[in-house]
Amino acid sequence: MITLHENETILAVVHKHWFSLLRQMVIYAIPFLLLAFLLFFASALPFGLDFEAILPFSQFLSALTLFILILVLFLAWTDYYLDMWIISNERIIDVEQEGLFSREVADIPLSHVQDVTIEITGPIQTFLRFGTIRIQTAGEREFTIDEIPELNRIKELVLAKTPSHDHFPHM
Amino acid sequence: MLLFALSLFLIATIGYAFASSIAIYYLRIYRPPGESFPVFPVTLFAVTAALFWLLAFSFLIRVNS
Repeated sequence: MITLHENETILAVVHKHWFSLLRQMVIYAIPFLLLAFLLFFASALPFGLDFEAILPFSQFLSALTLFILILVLFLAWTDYYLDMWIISNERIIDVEQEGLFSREVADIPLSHVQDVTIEITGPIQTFLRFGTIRIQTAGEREFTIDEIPELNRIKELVLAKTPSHDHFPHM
Repeated sequence: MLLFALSLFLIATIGYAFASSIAIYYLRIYRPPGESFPVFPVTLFAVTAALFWLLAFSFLIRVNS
């Protein structure tokens, strides 16, 4: 659970672009759908099996495979939804959900941010307008978040609160 | 064969209930600050899973012992 400081307000909550979720779901769905298809039509395969005896069981296995697929897709969506960047007026909170039982949360004070770089590579990122943001801090640590939308808006939000912007607001 | 199918069905059902309960719990406590619980996606997944569960059950009762 994210706890905000006194007088801290949230400026934006950023999730990964929907294409990232879609790609993950397709990768998970293909083997399950192939398996379900094979199981559903297993009774039609010429292996010398009793057609009438095997049909209900193979259909049952096919439906069960699709049931498990829905669970896998739900868990993939949950992982996507709980991965986020929370940009407040004081810090950036990087939340990384890794599976069901692992979660990593990092704080990046905006006062330590020195440089923000955005990268858009490839035709898909160009046409769907998402990419990577890299944040360099005073301690020479670099934080990266991949496949997020609204890159320029996020960059401006972060830079607006950094110390260098306070001194040179028009740069 | 019916016993084997029933075992698989129970394992899948219990596994689904366990994993989805944990996921929903995490969505409740770790959702972004200021955002409400994502009712629509969770309901969509639950309804779709229920339909496939019913489909699997309908085939299960046709499996010969």
